[in-house]
Amino acid sequence: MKQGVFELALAGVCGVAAIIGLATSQTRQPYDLTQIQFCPRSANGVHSQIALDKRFCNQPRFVLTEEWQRYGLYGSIIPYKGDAIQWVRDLPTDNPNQLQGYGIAVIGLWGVVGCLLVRSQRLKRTDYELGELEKTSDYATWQHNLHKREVKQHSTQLYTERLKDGLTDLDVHSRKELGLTDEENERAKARIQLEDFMKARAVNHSVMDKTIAENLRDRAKAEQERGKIEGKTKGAIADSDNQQSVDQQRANQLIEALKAHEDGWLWKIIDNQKPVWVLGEAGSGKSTLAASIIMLREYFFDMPLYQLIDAHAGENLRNAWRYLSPQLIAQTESEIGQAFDDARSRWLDRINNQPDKQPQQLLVDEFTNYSESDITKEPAKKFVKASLSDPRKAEERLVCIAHFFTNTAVGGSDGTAKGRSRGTIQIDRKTADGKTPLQVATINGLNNSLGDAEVDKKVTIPAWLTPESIHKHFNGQPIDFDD
Amino acid sequence: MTYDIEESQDEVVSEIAPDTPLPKDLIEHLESRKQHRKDVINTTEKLTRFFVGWSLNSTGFFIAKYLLITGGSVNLWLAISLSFSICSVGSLAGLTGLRVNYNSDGLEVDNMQNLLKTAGGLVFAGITTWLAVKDHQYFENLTKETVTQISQDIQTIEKQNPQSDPWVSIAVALALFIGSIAIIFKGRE
Repeated sequence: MKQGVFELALAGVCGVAAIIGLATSQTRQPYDLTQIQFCPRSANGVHSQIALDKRFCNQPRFVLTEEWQRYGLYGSIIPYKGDAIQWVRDLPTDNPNQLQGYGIAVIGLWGVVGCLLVRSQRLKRTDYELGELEKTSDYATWQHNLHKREVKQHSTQLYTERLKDGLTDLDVHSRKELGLTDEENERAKARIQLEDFMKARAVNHSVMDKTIAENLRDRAKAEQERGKIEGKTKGAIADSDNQQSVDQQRANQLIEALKAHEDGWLWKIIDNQKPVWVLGEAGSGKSTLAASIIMLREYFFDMPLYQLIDAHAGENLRNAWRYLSPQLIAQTESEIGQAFDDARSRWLDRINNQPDKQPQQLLVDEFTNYSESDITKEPAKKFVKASLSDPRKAEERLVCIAHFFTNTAVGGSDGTAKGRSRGTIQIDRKTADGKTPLQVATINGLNNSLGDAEVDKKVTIPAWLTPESIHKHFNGQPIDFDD
Repeated sequence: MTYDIEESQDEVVSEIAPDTPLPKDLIEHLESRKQHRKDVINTTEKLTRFFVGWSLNSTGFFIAKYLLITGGSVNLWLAISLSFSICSVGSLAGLTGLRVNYNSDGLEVDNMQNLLKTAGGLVFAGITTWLAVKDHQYFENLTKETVTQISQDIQTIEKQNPQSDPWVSIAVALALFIGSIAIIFKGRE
């Protein structure tokens, strides 16, 4: 407030100063003047001079002082006549302070402007601050009264309800007095209202019961459909369990027989993780033995045959391997070469990326031929080298069939002969006539109880170890091991 | 018995429901105060603009007067140009917002009133400048009039004996010439 008064007072002072300045600057003669006279000299005596003076010299003549000061100099507009034009007197301005007056007026006006500008800015700032303050205080008040308003609103609603009830009672009372109704009528109305209320409640409950029943029905339907999709009825599940127990029993019988044969070398081979190489001439029973090993592992360890690599797969699957069911078959040279490369990639993938992998088997026949073909030579070489370590970690059992176990016969993998002989189990089968396989065989690479790989161990192969016998054993015709 | 009470009760509820923290009359008072503050601010700003115009004009007037009183007619055109320029500042600043565009539909002018205001301001600047220099022009004319009178007087004096002066000289020269010739030829005889 004080500042406002000060501003206005200062503006007033400045305004008065401006007015005073303007007033003091007023003048009738703002510029200095000089009075001069023109008195030409006569050459004809005194009388002539008197006449000249009377005519020309005694007239008052005025010029601007600045112009008189230029008399006789360059730029003067007064014609030079020497002493004929003479200075008479100076007539200075009647207001020597006019410039100061003008200056004061100007400063005063600018002072008024300054005061008004300051005032205007101050008023704007004050207005803004007041607005902000108002908003803040309003919000604070609103918050402060929020609870009160809510309570009041609620109480008003309650009051309204109560008032309605009261008025209804009053209405009933009035109607009774007028004879429009009586106690019994009112009781009947109340009873009807209660019945309506109870029925409405019952309807609500029945709707809810219906919803519950529908939900239960849907659930039962869903479970029934799921059972159908899975193909497992209760009876089927029971039969499956029964069959499972029979198969387990047969498997146990067979395992016992394998363990009891000689020193159990057969069981050791089947249970071993080393790659098995079945060797021998044509007709020595290599394919039969290899198929038997594959089938036994399938039954005992639930280890499916993943891939069969065999150039003669078609014929073999119709004869010796008809009980095998490989998921993939590589038959042509290009397929076989690709299958070798795929096997190596698959092993690495199963080692690195599949922690919960399902064990599986791989069967390779006619390996001798693959080391001679240009297409399969390199893949076979790499396959053999990788097979010494990777299949075990990849949970893949490998059975290979070849005529010999020389470097060239098994893929030409130079430099790994020693590792190959220790890292694999070789079963060398025999034949006397090239048609009928002999019962005797030679085993290399199977570790004994001391951990040493046995060399050229002579063993016999039981007659019941054929794919057909094994298949029958698990399908209703158990093997008679005594025979 | 009727149930009109329900409607009236609804009104009571609706009066309370809005979040009005202050009484209506107080709000109106506050609004009027706010409006008053805005009016004061507007008036002050108008006054400020008015005094700025006057200050600029008086400044131009003062500068012209100062130049003429201290320097005389030498500073006449400097005084005129400076005074007019300073007095025009406010008018030219008022041109802000003026937009002139010419397209296929013809001439388009936005804020034409600014142009008129500026023209008025320039006229006012001219008047101020004229007021500043008119006294000096008056006394300069007085001086010129005096000079004219003196010149006329000189001519008047010279016209009273217009032939004598040259013929006297000619006669003297001729006499001197003849005299000298006579002396020359007299000596030979």
